[in-house]
Amino acid sequence: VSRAAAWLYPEVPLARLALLRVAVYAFVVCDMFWVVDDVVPHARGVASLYRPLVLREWLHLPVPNPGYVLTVRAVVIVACVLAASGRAGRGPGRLAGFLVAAGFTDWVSIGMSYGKIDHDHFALIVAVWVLPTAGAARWWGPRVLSPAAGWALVCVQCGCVAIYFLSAVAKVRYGGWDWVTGSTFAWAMTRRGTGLGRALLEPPWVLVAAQIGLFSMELLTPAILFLRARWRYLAIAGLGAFHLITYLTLGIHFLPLVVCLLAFLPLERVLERPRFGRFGRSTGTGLTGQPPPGAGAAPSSASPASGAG
Amino acid sequence: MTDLTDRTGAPGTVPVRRLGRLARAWRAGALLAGALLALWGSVLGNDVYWPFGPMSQFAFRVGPDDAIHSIYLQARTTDGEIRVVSLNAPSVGSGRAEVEGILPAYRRDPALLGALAENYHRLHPDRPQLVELWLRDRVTVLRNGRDAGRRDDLLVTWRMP
Repeated sequence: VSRAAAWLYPEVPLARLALLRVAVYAFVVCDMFWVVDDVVPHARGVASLYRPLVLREWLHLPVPNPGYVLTVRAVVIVACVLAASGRAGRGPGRLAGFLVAAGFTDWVSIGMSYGKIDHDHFALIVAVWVLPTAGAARWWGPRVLSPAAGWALVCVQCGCVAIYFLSAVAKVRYGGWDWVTGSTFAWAMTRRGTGLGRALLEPPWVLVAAQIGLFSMELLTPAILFLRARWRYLAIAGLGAFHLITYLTLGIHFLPLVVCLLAFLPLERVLERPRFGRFGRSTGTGLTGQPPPGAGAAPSSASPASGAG
Repeated sequence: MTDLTDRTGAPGTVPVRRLGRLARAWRAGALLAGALLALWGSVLGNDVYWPFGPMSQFAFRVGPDDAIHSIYLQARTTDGEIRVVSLNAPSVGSGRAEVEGILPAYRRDPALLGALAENYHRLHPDRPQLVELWLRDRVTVLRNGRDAGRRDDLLVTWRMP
C-alpha cells in the first residue's frame, strides 16, 4: 500500500506545480489563438455543419455563436492570468483554475464539433482540471512539499502516457496488427508532408520502419511512469525528439501534449543557482521528492548538491 | 531568482502539506475513473465521446496497394472565375479533415456545400461569392507502397439555387 501511495501522492515541491501552472496557463491562452484557432470562424459559420460531441449535448452547451465564443475566450484569458500568478488566495485561485478548466474544455470541444476530432488535447484537458486541486502554490518563498501537487503531476503524466499508449490501442483496433506494415505514413506524407517528409517516401521501407518504431514506442510509454529520474528525462527527451521530427516532416506539432510533458521534469530547478557540473550528479530526487539512497531523513533535498550554499 | 533550497536550511526541516484520508480517497478514485473512461473510450467508444474517445488519428491502415485520398474544393465565383478555394476554417468555416470526417453527409446532402459557400460569404463579405462548388478527390494510387499515378474524382457538386 505504501508503495502505491508513494507513487500516487509523491511529495513534490509546490514550486514545481506553480511553474507547471505558468506553462500550462500561458499555453492555454496561446492555444485559443494558434492551435484550436478555428472556433471563431466555426461560430460565425452556418449551424448546419455543427456536429456536437456527446459532452456538449449532455451539458446542454449552446450552439456556438460569435458572442458566446468570444466571451468564453475572454473569461478563460483573465482566469489564466489569475490562476498562473500564484498570488490569488486559496479560494480565488482555485475558482480561477476551475474557470479555466470549464471554459477551455468548452472551447476545445467546440473545435472538435465540426466533423474532426483530434486527440492531442487529452493531457492538456486533464491538466487544466487537476492543476487547481493542489491549492495555492508559489514558485518563490520557502520550500514546501505537497503530495496534492504530486498527485496532480501524476495525473498529467498519466494523461500524456494515455495519448501515446491508447494511440497504439487504436491502431490495433482500427488498422489491425498489420497497421505497422501498411502505408499510413505514406498517406500522411503524400497529403501533408513537408519537403523533408516527402523525401522519405522513397524507398517505401523507410516509412514502414518508422511505423514499426512509432508503434513500439507508443506501446512502451507506460514504463515512463515507473522509471527513475535520469531514465525518465532521457525518455522525455526521446519523445521531444519524436515530436520535433513529426513537425519537420508533417508540420504537426502536438504542442498541447508537449507542454504537458513538462510534468515529468523537475521544473523548480530552473530557479536554482546554476552550478557547473551539478546536473550530471543529481540523483533521483527530482521527480519524487524522495531522498536519494543514503541521504538520511532528508525528503527536502530535491537538489542535494545545492544544500551547501 | 531565489534559491529555494538554500533558504530551507538543514535537511528534514522542509514542511510537508499532508493529505487527509478523504483527500487521498477522492484523488485515487478520480484517477482510476479517468483511466477507466479513457480505456473504455479507446476499446469500445467512438469519436463523439471526446475527450474519452479513441486516439484514432492515423490509426487506420492504408495497404501498400490502396489509394490515398485528398479532397479539395473548386468553385465558380460571381464574376465567372473558376478556382480552387482553400479548404480550411478561415476560408470556408471548415477544414479539409472536417469535411472528410462527415463526407457521407455531404454526399447525401449536397446543400452542405452550400453551407460552405455561405460561410465563405460571411467570412469574406467583400470578395466575389461562390455560386457553384465542386468537391473533388485527388487520388494517389499506390503499388507496393509507391506512387503509381494520380486521378481526380468528382465527389459532390452544388449550385446556388
